[in-house]
Formats: sequence, C-alpha cells, structure tokens
Amino acid sequence: VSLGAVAAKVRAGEPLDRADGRALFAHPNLVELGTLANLVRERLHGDRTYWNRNLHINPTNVCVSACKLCSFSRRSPRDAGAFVLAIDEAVARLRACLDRGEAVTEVHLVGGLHAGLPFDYFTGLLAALKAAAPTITLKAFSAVEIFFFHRLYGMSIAEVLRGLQQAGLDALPGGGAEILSPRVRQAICPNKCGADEWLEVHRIAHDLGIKSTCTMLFGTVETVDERVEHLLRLRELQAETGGFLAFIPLPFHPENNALAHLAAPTATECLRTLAVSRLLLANVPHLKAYWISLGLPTAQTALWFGADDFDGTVSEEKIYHQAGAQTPSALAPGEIARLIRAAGRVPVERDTFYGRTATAAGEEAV
Amino acid sequence: MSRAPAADFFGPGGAALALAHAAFAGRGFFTPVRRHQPDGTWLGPEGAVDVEARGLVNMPYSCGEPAADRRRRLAQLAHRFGALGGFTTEDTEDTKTEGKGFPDANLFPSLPASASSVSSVVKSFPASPDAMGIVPTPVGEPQGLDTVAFFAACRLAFPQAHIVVDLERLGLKLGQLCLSFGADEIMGSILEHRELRLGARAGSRELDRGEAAQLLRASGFVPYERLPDGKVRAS
Repeated sequence: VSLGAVAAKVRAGEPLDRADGRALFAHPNLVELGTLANLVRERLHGDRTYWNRNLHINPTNVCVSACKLCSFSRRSPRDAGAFVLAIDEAVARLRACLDRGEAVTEVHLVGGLHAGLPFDYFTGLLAALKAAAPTITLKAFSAVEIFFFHRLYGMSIAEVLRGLQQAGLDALPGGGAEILSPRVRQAICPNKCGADEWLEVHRIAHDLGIKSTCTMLFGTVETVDERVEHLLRLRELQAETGGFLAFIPLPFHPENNALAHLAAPTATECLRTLAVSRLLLANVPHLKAYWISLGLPTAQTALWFGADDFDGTVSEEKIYHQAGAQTPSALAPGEIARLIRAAGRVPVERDTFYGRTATAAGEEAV
Repeated sequence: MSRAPAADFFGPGGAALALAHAAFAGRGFFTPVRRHQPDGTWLGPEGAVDVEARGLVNMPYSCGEPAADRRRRLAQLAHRFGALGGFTTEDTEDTKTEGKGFPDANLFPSLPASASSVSSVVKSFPASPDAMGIVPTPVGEPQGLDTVAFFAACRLAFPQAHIVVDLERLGLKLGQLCLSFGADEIMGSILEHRELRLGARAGSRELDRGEAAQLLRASGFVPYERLPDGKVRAS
C-alpha cells in the first residue's frame, strides 16, 4: 500500500483498513505522515487546540495487579510509600486548588486496585467532592478499576457504574487499555482485566450515558500489527456507541519499573503513533497530546501531527512522574496558552465534554 | 540500508530531512563525547571524543525570537564559512545583513519550499563525513516547534554540514526528533553499557551504543559511530 493510495482515501474521507495502518507505521518520512494527519486534524478542528483546568487525585497506590509497566503502585498497604487518601484529604486538596483560584472544572481520579477498601469509600469520595464543588466534573476510575470493583464487590458492571453515577461520577478516563491484545497483556499486565473486558466496561458505560476517553500504551513489547488491531477495535466500539470523546496515545516510560531494561519510544515514534492514530481513528473526535507523558516539546510539535488537545493544567500528577517523566507537575493556564500559540494554533479552553467553559471568551480563553 | 525519503514533499521540514539523508549518503552519526571541566577533570568516559577538539560551531537560538533575527544570524554564519550550499552569490550579498532568501526559521506555518530547488541542491554536492559541524544551541528552555524549525532552517542553509544534536542540552526525546528535521548527528554521554533508569538515575540522559544507533535508525539513517581519531565506523 503506497502513501499516495492512503492519502487518496484520507482526502475522500474513507475509513482506512488494517493494511493502510501497517503502511502508515512503516512509512519512513515522518513529515509526510504528519502532513496527512494534519489534514484530518484541520478538517475537524481548524487551528483550535483544546485544553482544560483539571486536578488529578489518586485515592490509593495500593494495587494487587503488580503490572510490570507500573512505577506507581505498592503491593501492600504496609509497603513503604503506600497510601490510601482519606476522603477529607481529597476534599481538602480540591478546596485548596479552588482557593488558589485555579478554577478547575474537572477532577481526574484513578488509583490502584486495593482489595481492602469498601465500595462505600469510592461512592463517598465522589459524593464528598461533588458536595464541595457541585459544578465540577468527576472523571473517575478506569475500566480496569470498574472491572475490579465488579469482581471484588460481586456487583454487575452496570450496577457498579450506576452506583458511582448516583454518587457523582460524570465520565470515565481511558486508562488501563494498554494494548488490547491477550499476548501483550499477558506479558506486561497479566492480572488486569482482559481486552474484551476493558471494551465491555466502556460499552456499558456508554449505554448508561457515561462518556469516556480511550488510550493506548505503546512502546513495550507490542508489534505494529497489535497497535493497528488496538486502534481498529477502538474504532469499532466507537462506531457502535459513539461514546469516546478523545483518544490518548501514551508512550511507555521505562523508568523505575520492571521493564526498565527497555528503551523508551523515541519522539519520532511518538509523533508517528499520534499521526497514524489520527488517521485510523477518524471517528473519535479528539486526539490528545498528553504533555505529561510526551514531554512539552514533543506535545507541542504533536499539534501538527494530528493532535488537537493539549490536556490540561494537571495539578498534582503522580503516576507518570514516578515513572520518570521530566515534565513539570502542573502547568499554569497562561503557559499552556503560550505553548499552543507558539505552535501557531489557537488555544480554546474546554470542559470535560469539549464544551466551552464559562470562563472562555470567544475562541481564545486565556 | 538507508530508508532515504523522497524530496517531493510538503515543505522545509521534509526538505531538511531529505537533505540530511542526501548529505552523507543515508549515514547518520553518533558521537560519544567527553567535556573538559573548569577544574581540569573530564566529564565523560575515556576514549570518547573531546567535544572541543571536534571544532563544532555553536548556533544559538531562543524560542520565540523573531524569524528575521534567526535568518540574519544564519546568513552571517553562512557568509563566514562560505557554506551556502543551495544559494547563489547574489543571495550571499543580500543575506549577509538582511537574511533575505534564507529559509524561514518559523517552519510552520510558512511553507512550502520548492521541491525542485531541493532536488537540485541534493544532487549538487558530494558526501563527506569530514564536513563542518553546526550545533544549534538553545538559549533557555527549548520548545518543540521552534527547535525542529531551527534545525530544519540550519540544514537548508548548510546542506553540506553536519547538523549536530547535543543530547545534553536537548534531552533524548527532543534531540531524537531533530533527526527527522535536518539533523544527521547526535552527541552525548554514549557508553558501552548504561545503568538502568531506576531511582536517582531515572532521569539519566545516558545512552548505550545500541540505543544511540537505534535513535538514528528510527529516523531512517544507517548509524555510524564517530571515533576519537576522526574516523567513523559502521555500528
């Protein structure tokens, strides 16, 4: 398959197939690939580049899963550095953030799979955060956590989601997808939910009206074919439910974990993966350049390789920083806008669902 | 085998990549370096190339500076070295002070460059691993687009030179990215074996030779190691 043939399909708005995906990953000229992805990006969003004000809270880092890729978790509550956040402390962090005038519109909650916490802890956490800031959006618990709750508490997935929804859950984050391949999951995260189960959680969430994002952790042991398969499986579910708001490619960080002998994906590989993702996943509206994971220079460059979203201020991110991320732990709104403008794009502040926020004034919110 | 891209693409970024491949017949270089410290000691392993003895020319840039300023400095450097690969004598006189006719250092969105002129430049000069080396050097914190744009501009201005990435300054990610925008060489702390990135070494910028070679391969180059005696060897 030549790039010209793929480009003709892209220009005609036709969906790409497996062979096209392989050809794009194999194409040597990164700039050509970026130009094609940029065509789709600008067709969908013009120069607009979205960002939001968000706070990350991790309820616990205690996790039974012991994934080789993880630098964040502790196996036992007694291990050094293990924590469970008290509900009051989580609320205090949100209040402190609001008191500093950060005007966050979203709290992003993900954590470990702690077998010793009751379901009430999680519903109580959501309810308390919502009570502290009723207009805030709670994007909480990856599909891996939802599936764990289902097994641990003996509830159906729908019951888990409804319970959390009643407590204040608004959306699901897309973490834990890693690569949707049994072979890869067996190699890097054998105790996590399987690929079909990850997709099933999102399918049920979408049926309940809960929007979500989706991710792909690339650069561990997967093949190009497995990346393409991952993207096509996400596209298939999106065609069925329309519930994915954004796709977030996440390069693997080999620091401080059991896969430290692997090389990190190069920046070229990151941009290539973003560009191919934009082209293959044409039915997912937004592609995020998650600056925490990509690093600021690569994330900024990614705005010309298909990405239209820079993520947010990300106060208090811990998971990637414990995996060696060299990025700042948070960015001020003005700094995000400056980086976006320096890339020749127009910053647009958004809420979780890609609506403009109340603080946004026209196209440029900052 | 080099996977040299074609020259008929979309602008200076692609043109710079094609020129980088053409300049040294698809070869990309990595250079283990050591640096002389003010206290008389060396930073870097014995047997690495003395970065000062290499005779590289630093080319400073700061992110957010006006493109005209960059063009002027590129032109002045080109005039000094008589190294205007793709430009005429008339261009030289004009650009010496004004920078007219020089590649726009704001790569995006001021595209495109002429594909035909790129092709003619590619055909017009011989490959030589002994060519001069230019190190685009960020002043302050480097940003992504400004950096790759400046590397591309350097390549377009100096098609016959080594455009060298200093990994110590740019880091592994951004440094490697520059190999897709005109750079053909990386230099840094490149060792026989590096320590695992665990604990205090998690943020280390050290590479082993295999990883350095892989960074070059990821941008389509055939990797060669630069040795202290000035020779190169296939990796």
